[in-house]
Amino acid sequence: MSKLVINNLHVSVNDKEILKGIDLTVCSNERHALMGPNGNGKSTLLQAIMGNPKYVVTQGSIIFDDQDVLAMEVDERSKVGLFLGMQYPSEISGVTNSDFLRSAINARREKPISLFKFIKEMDKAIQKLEMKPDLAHRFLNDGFSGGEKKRNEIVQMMMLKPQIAMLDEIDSGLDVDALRIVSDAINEIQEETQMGLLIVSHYARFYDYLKPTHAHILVDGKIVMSSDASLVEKVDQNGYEWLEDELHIQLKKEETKQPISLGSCGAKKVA
Amino acid sequence: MKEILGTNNRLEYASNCNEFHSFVINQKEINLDIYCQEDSHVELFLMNQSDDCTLNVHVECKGNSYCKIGLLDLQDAPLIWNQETILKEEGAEFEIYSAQLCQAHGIKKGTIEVKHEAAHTYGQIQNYAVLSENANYEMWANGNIEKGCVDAQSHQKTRVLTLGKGHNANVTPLLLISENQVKASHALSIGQPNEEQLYYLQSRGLTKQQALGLLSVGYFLPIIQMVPDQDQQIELQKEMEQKVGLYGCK
Repeated sequence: MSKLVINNLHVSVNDKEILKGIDLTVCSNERHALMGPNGNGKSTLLQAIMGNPKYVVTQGSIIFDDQDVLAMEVDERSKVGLFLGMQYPSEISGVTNSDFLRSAINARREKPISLFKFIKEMDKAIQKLEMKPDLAHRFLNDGFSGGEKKRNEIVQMMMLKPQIAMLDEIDSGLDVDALRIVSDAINEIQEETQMGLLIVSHYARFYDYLKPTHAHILVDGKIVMSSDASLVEKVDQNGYEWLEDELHIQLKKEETKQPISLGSCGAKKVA
Repeated sequence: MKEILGTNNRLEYASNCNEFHSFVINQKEINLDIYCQEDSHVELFLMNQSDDCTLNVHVECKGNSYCKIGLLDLQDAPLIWNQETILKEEGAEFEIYSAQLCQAHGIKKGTIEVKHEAAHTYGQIQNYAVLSENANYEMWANGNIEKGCVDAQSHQKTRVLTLGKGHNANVTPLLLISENQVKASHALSIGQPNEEQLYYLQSRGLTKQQALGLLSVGYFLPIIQMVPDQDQQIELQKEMEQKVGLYGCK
């Protein structure tokens, strides 16, 4: 059984503290729903676990199967069994999906995967996610719609078979049918591999398909409430404002970027 | 099967022929003259395997001929390359694609000119280079359209990916146009790999070196795909992947 233990995690971005002491444990076969208002640290938590260099851990620990994750490089975290399905997957022109995945699989094997086995597994994943058959030959996320990019994240997850998978708003951009397809695929992978799941989403419909075993609400960089799946339903029906009364906290609103004036415009209006 | 070029080579392609040839460069100096007659269709793949070479290529294209040259240069050795193409008659088309890996302290210098001497001619220059630490890359690419060459097209693109520090990339894209009714374009980029892209690749288990290697593969693959033989393509791709560090060591 695999276990990811996060203890008193503090994370800063551009010298601003975003996570202010996160405690969370995710085990194999568990499904953790991570909710909370926008801009309160959910994506920051997932990116910090994966090792995005923009997110600086200033305090606390992340231990995976008794190994210190914070001492690992990004690729090492992936190889030990962590996976992040990103909110905004990168587009990389010139690198085909198949070359990328084959390299990623071979990076964690002593002997390269046979071409036949690789093609067979990739075709299976593509069919499962009902993506276009030419996916393997297309450039990585290049020219993909938002929904295609998210489904491609799940294709990668199917091929890499992680121990703990973190999914950052993987449901955004998916239509009703695609949501069902993605959810079925996630359920199937978990049944096959017993992977643990940490899922960020705002929407009950997605959680209806995935049936979380645990639910948490993250507000202003801290987990303020943890419970079972009933918490998902409560948030879906009542939003987050009830937390202010119940927990005597102030909900942090997502910062909206103010427009910056560049001064006078260089163009002149000619009469 | 690849033929080995001698020091002085003359290739003449007859009217209406349709040919693909693959050549190996492994001499100190190579002069290659190519003549494409009317309505010929020629594709040439040049692979550099020399320790140090000056390659001079002269191409003349007659009416409605099509000539495409791909140069793959993964050698850890200097290459001085002079490419001159003249589109002599209407309808002539020429494309040149180069993919060069400039390893640490390596030197690659190229001078390419595609000269339009007739109307309705088409020229395309595309250069891709990956530079390691302290590498030295120079490319001067000129699309030259003479007066009277109505509806001629001259396009060029140079993309340089720089890895490490201390490298020198000097690229001069030039369009000399003496006719009004033409189409011409040029694009140039020189830069480091995108940090977000690197992080994304690393998050799937690739080391930084492997991630850089994979980004480099993206630059060279279109040239390798010129080779029609699938087995040869696979062999070339393996060699390229090895040299760019995709397997973790060079």
